[in-house]
Amino acid sequence: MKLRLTYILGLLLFCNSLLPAQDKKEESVYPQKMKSSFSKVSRSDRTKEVNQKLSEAEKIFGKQPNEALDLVHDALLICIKENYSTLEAEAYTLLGRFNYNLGEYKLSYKNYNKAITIYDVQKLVSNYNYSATQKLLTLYYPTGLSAEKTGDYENSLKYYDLLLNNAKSDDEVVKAHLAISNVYLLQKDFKGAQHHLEIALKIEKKRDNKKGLALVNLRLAELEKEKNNTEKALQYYQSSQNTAIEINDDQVVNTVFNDLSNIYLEENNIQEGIELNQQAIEYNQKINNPQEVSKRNIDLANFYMKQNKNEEAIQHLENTVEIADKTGDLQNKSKAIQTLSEVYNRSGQEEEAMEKYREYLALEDSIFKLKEQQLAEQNKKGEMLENAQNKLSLLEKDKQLNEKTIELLRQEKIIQEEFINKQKVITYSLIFGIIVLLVTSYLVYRSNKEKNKANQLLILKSLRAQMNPHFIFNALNSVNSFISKNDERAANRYLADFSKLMRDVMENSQEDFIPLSKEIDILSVYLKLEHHRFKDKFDYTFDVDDSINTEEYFIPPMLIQPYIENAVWHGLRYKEEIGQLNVSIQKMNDHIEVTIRDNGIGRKRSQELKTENQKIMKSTGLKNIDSRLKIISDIYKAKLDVTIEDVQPSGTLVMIKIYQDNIKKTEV
Amino acid sequence: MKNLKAIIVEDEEASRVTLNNYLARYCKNVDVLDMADSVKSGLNAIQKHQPDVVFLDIEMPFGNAFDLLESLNDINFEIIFVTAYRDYAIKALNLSAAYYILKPIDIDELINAVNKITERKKEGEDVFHTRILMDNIKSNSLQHKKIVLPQMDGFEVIKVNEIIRAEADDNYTKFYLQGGKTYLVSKTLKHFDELLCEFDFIRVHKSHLVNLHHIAKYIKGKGGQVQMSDDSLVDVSPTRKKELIDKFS
Repeated sequence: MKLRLTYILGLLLFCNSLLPAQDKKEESVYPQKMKSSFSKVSRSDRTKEVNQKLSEAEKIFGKQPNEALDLVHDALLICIKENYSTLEAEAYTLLGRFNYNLGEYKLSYKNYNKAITIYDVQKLVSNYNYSATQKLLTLYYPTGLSAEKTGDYENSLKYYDLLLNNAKSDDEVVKAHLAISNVYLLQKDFKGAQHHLEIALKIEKKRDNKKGLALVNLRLAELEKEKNNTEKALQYYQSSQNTAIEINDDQVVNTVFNDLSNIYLEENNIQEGIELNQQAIEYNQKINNPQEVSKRNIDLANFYMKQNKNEEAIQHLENTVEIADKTGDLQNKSKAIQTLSEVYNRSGQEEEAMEKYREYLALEDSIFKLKEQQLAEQNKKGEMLENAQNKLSLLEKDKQLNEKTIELLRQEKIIQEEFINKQKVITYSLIFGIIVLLVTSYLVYRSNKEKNKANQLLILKSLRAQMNPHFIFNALNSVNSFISKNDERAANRYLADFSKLMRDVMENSQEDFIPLSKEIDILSVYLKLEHHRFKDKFDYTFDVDDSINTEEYFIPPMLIQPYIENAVWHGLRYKEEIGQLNVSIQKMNDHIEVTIRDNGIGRKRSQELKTENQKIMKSTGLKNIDSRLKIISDIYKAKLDVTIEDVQPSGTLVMIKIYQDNIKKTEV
Repeated sequence: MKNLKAIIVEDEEASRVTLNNYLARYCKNVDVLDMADSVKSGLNAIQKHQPDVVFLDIEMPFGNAFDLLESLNDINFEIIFVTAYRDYAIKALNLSAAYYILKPIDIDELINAVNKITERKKEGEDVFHTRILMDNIKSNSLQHKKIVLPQMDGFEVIKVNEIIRAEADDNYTKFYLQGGKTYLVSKTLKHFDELLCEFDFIRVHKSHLVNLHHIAKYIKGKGGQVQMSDDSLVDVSPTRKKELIDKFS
């Protein structure tokens, strides 16, 4: 009953657990759909695509900047769509560089800023992101430079400061100081500029970096020149140039030549100017830099002009035009021709002067046209870039919107998942509870059963094999009678038999089953002793079928004895004449049959004979065996049949059927 | 010398022979006049010989010792009961302070019993134990049974329901009865506890045995106290409190 109930409960629960499972299925379809629209399925393919586009853009930028920009934009579109943040930052960095190179400083500043924002986020998300930190360090300088170029000194200084604060090497530190000093210089903050330059100088001196020293000294010279401190400026220039020559830093060397030449020109320091420019021409001829040679020749011509050495000036200028023509250096050619026209004018050669002037105008016109063309192109590019930029920002807004919807859906999903989880928890805990209930009830049932069995075994033990104490006392009585008769031999024989019987009974009383042969031994001694006591009351026979293997059959100990005792004490004992007791053990088809037949007074008459006073005394022997048989058949499922019937004219017949199979099975 | 006429009533031949042999050998003053193997032949023998003492087996076929005694109008002989079974009958015998010996017969026990009877016969005492025994056996109500209390000068027969309580006093037991009578008996309280426990007596304390029917009141306490019908207060030991309360609930 209990079991059936729990079974039904279990079924109910099982049905219940199916419901949330269905819900779950529907749930899982929805996010699946969502996923597919923002899929990350082909992630690896697309990053490859982005990388390809970026490297391709870098390759062709020099020749086809428009195509390069298109490629970067494409790459960016993909990155934004797919949420490849690192690649997106890289693309922005590249775009920034392109825009800077194209002179679009505002755009480049914006691009760099985007890249920096992305890396900053990455750095925030993962506590220490080495590559992001590294990338940031390389971005601060160009970003600051872009800002500087647009005149946004505030932001420019901000990024330079970032570079300075995050710098990992002296190179970076010096770079930052130089950049900062430059901004101060642009703002005419000479003190600030000088402060940073001096720091840079100290560092470079300390590590003895010639290139750096040349550069810093040059900057210092420029600063001093700006401050109209010519004397000091000249010193720095000299120092810078000396170092630059040492390490063949032509750029610095030429800058110094140029600046010094300008200073001498301004201050009418002709002799020194001529020497300087001659020196410069020699130097640049050595390093084969025709452009600089042209520049210096023009300056040299100017100095000669001031000395009125027109012949020499013209010669140098003609020379310059020739060189510039050869190298396609329109700027210098134009400047040389302009100066030539001036020289001719001075020397009164007006016709030549006019001719050169016209030539100069034509040249300037073509230079202007070229510049104009470049400008137009640039404007076009700017427009295009702006468009692209707008597209990008639109896309980003879109992305943000998408992210919002995704976030919403995600939250919805989380809520639903929580709900499902709650249901799951409830269901599982219910199932768990039921299982616990089932297990405990089973355990209780089992332990009860075991306890029952143990109890029954205990009862069985207490009931088992109790030789009727009356029999024992009577036996001892018999011994006493031999003693009183001084019949030592008989007393001894009787005691020996009695001891054997007691020993067998005690030994076997420990077992639940004993071989039939043992019981037969006990019975024969028992019969002998009882007969001795009631010699005048009965005779007996005891037959055992020879065909029975008495070792093979197992029966509970003292199963048969009580019936014999009963036959003697309550049947035969009351008989007037001598009675008959027949005990036999026969083999039948499927069982062994034990029969105990007496021709005593019978059960009914025995009961009638008892007086009131005698009835008070209770007989326990047979009650005992009844309970024993019951328990044995309960625990061992051993099949034993006992039937008792009355025999005519008087007497009792007890039949005990022992089914071999059952008993043997339970034995082993 | 043979001054004690005796009859043996015993169904088993071996036992008869044993008893007869031992009496002849160890109790020379006993003269076994006859031996009977059943109630019926026993009655005949008693009427025929008018014995001083009957050795009477309690369990026999066709009626037991009490059946035999009931059939007699007057019991003017001593009885020594013989039994192999220490059960129901023994209690009745004890209550009436009757003599009995257990089988297998202990020769010393036999001699002792015969000596006592010989002595009593000398003093010419009335043989009332057997009558009390018969009363007790016939009486259905437990509380109406009688108990024999041996005294220095003889026996005191008291109805069980007259006993209010008994108190231990070393190896003696003091009985408090209705009407204020007390008796001191030279037997332990334990002996009477065993005898009287089936007559609604309860041992409420190591040294107190009380008749449940005479308890008037229970006074709460660690073990508490009971007030008896004679207003005496008896301590209840804490360990027996529960047993006492269970009897009333």
